[in-house]
Amino acid sequence: MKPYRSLWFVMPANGRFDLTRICLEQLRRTCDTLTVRGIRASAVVVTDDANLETAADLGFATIRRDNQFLARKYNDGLQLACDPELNPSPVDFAVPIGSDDWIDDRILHRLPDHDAIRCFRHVAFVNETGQELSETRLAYEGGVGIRVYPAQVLEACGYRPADEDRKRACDTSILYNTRRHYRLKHQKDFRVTYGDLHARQIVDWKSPGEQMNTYRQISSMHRSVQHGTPFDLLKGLYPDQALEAMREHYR
Amino acid sequence: MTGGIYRVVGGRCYRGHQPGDLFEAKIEHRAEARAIGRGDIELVERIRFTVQPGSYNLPKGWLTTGRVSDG
Repeated sequence: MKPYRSLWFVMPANGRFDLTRICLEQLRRTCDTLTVRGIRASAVVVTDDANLETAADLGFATIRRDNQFLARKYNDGLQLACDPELNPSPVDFAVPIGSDDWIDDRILHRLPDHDAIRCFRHVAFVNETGQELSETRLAYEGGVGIRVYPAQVLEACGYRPADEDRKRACDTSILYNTRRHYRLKHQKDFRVTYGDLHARQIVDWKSPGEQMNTYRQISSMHRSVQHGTPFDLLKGLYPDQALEAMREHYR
Repeated sequence: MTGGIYRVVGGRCYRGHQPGDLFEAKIEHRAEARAIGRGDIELVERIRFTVQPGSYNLPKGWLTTGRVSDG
């Protein structure tokens, strides 16, 4: 017998019930596929609204936390995933993810060593009407906020890396504070590695109103390549069932 | 993870919080001492940030299996 490696996605959620449900259902498929491949995967959803029920129905962990500080929701999820004082079977890896994201499970088939984090630069964004997809490469260190953190790396900050009173830019706060605490504890930096496979390995589905950054803002901030209909471009990369549910969402 | 409840006592914002606001945060000890020394904030109470007891559930079946056969 050999131990599974285990991984949780950490997802704060707030409203957007239909979009979140579709993304959680797709995340369930992603977790099941990873588990078949020997990475025991699940997720924890942190919220105080009806998304809790969706998450529980899909078999995910849940944490009830108000929406005052997004950072606290990430910290709660990371702590429950990794802290043996809370979780009798803590995970080996935690991956923060948004409630509007899809991820191609193949980018997680290789996981980082205990002294490294794994990052991704390529991400596709779908606009608020579901009619356009753009591909973006985030050139700055760490790339997309979806990063694979070994629990051993997060231990140095008590598994709560983000500034507790942040309402945005939490992914950067997690990265910077994790590094700061790791450096203090180990007298060296962790390694930052990249595991990109293709341009649509992560898909961020925009919706009108309730989000931090709009499609237009992202397209203007980064060098993006606009393409056509997302449902054609994503066919074969993600399950037909998930694509059909999302197509219906934007109708 | 230890932090605190702070009050902004100076005449200017601190970490996005307005004068007079109470806020909860983790502030590195030296930075906290400097901010208090400058008269920007005061420490109201030490608190420990953690997941609240009774607020969470683990994934279904998470504790029942954890190993896979080599075969």
